[in-house]
Amino acid sequence: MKRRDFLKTIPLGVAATTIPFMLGSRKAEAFLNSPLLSALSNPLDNNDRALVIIFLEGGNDGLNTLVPFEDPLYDKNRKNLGFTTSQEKSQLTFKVRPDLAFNPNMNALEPLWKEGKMAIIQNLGIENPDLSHFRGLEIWNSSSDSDLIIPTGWAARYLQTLYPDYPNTLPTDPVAINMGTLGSQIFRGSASMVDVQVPNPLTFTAAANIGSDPLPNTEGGNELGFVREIVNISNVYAKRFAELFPASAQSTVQYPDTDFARNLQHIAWCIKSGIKTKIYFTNLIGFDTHFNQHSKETDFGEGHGLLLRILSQALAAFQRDLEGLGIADRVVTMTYSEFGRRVSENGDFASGTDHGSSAPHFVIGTSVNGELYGHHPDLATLDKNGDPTNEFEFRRYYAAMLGDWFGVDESLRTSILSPGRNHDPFDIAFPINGTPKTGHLIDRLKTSVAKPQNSAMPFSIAVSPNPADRVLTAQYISSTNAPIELELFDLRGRSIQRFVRSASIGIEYQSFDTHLLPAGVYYLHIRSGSNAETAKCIVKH
Amino acid sequence: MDRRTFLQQLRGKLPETEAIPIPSNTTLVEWKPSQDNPWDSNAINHLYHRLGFSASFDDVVAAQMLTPSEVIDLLMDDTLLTTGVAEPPLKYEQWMYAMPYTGPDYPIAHAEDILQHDAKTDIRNWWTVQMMKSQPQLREKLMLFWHNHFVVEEVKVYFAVHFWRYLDYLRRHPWGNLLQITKDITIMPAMLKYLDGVWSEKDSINENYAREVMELFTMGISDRDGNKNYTQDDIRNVAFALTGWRYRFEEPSPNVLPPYFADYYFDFNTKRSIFGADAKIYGLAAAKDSRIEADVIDLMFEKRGKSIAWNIAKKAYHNFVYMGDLPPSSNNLIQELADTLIASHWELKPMFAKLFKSEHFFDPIHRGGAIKSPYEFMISVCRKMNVPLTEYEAGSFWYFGMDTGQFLGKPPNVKGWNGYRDWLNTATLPKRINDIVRDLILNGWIKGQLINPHNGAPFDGIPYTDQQITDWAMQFDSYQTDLESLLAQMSDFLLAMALSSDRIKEVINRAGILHIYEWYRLNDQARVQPLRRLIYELLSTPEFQLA
Repeated sequence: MKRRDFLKTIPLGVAATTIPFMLGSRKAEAFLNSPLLSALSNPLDNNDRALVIIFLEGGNDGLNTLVPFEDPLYDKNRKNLGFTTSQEKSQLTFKVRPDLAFNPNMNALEPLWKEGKMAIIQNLGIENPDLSHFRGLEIWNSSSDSDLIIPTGWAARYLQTLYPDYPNTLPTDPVAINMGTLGSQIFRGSASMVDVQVPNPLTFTAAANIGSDPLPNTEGGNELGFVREIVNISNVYAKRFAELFPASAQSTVQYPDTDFARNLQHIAWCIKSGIKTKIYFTNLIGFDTHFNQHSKETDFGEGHGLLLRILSQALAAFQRDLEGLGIADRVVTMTYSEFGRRVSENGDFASGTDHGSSAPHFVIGTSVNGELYGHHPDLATLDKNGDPTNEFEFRRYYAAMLGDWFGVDESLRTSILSPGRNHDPFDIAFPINGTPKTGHLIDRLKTSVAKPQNSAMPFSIAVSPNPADRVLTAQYISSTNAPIELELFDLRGRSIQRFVRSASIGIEYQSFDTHLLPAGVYYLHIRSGSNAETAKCIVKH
Repeated sequence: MDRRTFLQQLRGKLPETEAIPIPSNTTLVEWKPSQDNPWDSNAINHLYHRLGFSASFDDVVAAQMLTPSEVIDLLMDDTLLTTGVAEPPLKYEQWMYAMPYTGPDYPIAHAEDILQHDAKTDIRNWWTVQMMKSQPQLREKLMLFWHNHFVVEEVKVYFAVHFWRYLDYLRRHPWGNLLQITKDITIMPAMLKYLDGVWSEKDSINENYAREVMELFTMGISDRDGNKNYTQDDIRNVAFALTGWRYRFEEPSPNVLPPYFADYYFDFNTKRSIFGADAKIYGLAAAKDSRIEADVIDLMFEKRGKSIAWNIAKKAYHNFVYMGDLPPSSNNLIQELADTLIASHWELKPMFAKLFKSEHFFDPIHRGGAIKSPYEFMISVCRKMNVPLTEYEAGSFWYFGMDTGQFLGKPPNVKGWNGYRDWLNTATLPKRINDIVRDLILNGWIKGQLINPHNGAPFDGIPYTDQQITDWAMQFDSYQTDLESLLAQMSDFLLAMALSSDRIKEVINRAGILHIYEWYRLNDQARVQPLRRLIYELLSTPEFQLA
């Protein structure tokens, strides 16, 4: 998909408001100059949280991942592939509900579930799926509507709000690292990919020899510019990795002997090293199980069962390692796949499943609210292709990562995740265990907001009461010798009240008059020199 | 305001690397070299970059004695499809006739796994050597193009003999008839296995091939105007039409039999409508069964011919001209190619010949606008530096291909390799330079990565001796006289975009050559180490990644 086609697909008026995040560094910067965003942009990047994204390539079979073993329709549709006999059902010991259990190949994750570190989102998918791998993946990666084609990836659009001038200005650390075997379009930015491919942190090397003469105005010139950029990026980050490794190559657990587990181990090394990379990607290939699926066997050398085993054992080791290294609070891991598979298996002979629609996915981390979100698909009401209709639109999943984990506010989140539309509801009110209940997938308060290791903040901030009625008091601990600016913004970025206090060291208080303010969410922003911190507060009368 | 200006205003400035569609006013008429755009080594390099795996020194010399059209005719000579294709890979008799096989649940011994795996490695190495040879450059390039179109993955195909027959077919039909190729591929054992045709029968339909043959191999999801080409019902009905095809091995003799139609898997009782055509019993004419009323592949080409021709022409244009952002005018050229394909009743040769011989193809704006694939890269090093490879030595290379994103016979998925900018990133680019250029040129040795599968002996690797490097450099007439002129000649021969004189000075500096003014006084032996460093620098330039 080319940029100009993209313009063709979105009405110009809409494009003008959403393009900046996808296409233009300059425009994004201009937008970031609006009071709210500039107030928030630095603090947003002042956490050291990392997101690890795991792509299950080919379309993971949800029904044999999370098995509704009491559902007679499951037995009927999965005569060969399913856990249908009582002996097979007895293998399903990793139960998340009396009638719902994980595939026994995933038992390695059971301790994490019991400790509440694993959330399961059932029935997650795209709208109107056309069952193509490539279209499905395009939609997931670009976070587009099903009938829109967007050339950039959702992760790149988020990272470009933090680093709008990438790659013209390279930050000290890569903004995203790909440790997988596949390139990922989630990192396709407006001008170039925003991720750095690192096959192994220990052997990451430079490519040297760039050349600096002007580029000719030909297609060759275009491509020469592209190659020079990669040479430059690898030269810069090879130097950085040489500073960090091998010293940072530490592990506290024995990882399984698989490439996938090694990739996760390398990710743990990187996070431990203190680099500020926000998003890591890796992948596991082979979920397109049209035949020879072998979901049930726990000792078979190929197929779906083996993949689930590789996945679960590696994820379990990774989480334990993060905990052992003392960095678990900084990391959340999520899975995704282009689609699930057809409810009914494709025949007596085939022992496989065709392309389907929605599927369950999971999120792991100490900050995760370890619950079962949503309902298992109703196998009695399928669409005309024989697939379940999704309960959760996939973008709500991303919204949880951006909003709950990275603290991206709603308006920015919307423009990142749903370009061309700004009315998507991004509340993460999942019904839990069948009972509607408001809950965040990731609870930021569960773990302390970690501070960057190398640049200790000169102050911290707390607001009380929260919610506030007549008066809101900010308490801050300051250790700077620069003037301190405190400013209250409303959700739309308008400055409500602003105070400038002289430099001080110690605990200070500043009150804001809130009795005339409309009820709602506000941001209190504190700034001193180049340091800033933001607190969210609520006014309620 | 046009869209570009609009975009530029939005963006402020364009980053250096932003691909800007370069306008071109050249057409598909046959190219006649001129003083402004001569038939020189740069043009010859371009031809061999795009229609092969780089021009060797001998290729450049030979091409200068012919016209561009004559060179392309030689590369497209049909006799290449019958001669030089036949000699099989190493130890072919171990797997060419395969072993008796009774069904999908037949327990396959571990030894059999190893035999098949090693056989496919041998095929891959044999294939690499074919790409090295001068004469069949275009055949091999197009064969790779079709492998990346009618994709199979050898792991799922499993049997080396089926993988071999698939490759052998593509190698013999690089510019054949698209309709016939599609029909043949559809029932080829490799494809039946890869996209699950062998598991599809009337009572348990497998949609895999039906979907991909429409989405990827022929018409695409939508036509040029964005109208859907087919529905999910069409996919299902096409899947029904394609049932019944099986392959087998003859027992007890080891003959590999052609695919056959097993009518008991086929539903003759339900007439189905596809693409809104009359409800009929659709199947494949190859079944030679009178109950089948119409061929479903014929129906695709009849009802969706325009989309098919457009898709194939577009893919060819992208692959051989430019994969980046194109100016709108290129749509007219692609349509012209598509029309040529339809007018020739799906014969591919006229379309390819029209494109390859055109002034548009040779337009200097395209030079260097392609990014070498891993195989194009390593073979270009060998062909440019005159490192002949044996099948045995090519065993060092599949490993490199796997590490840098192009494992022959194993594209990442049924859509094939994306290629173009996806080939290069911060992992693959340093690997290209370190594992191939540095080892071969600076260290004089590409280390063997493998244990020889045939005898378990460690593989020594590929040497590049001082004598070889001297012989190579002596081909350039400045070798005896002047270093800067020698560098200019070498860069002109090695690179798609020749280096400026400033850049040549930079390369000499980087190489740390001290005796630049006394080059003519040095003897061969004294020149070898400086030459190694200079060539290393030239092959490490970003320009050498381009084709």
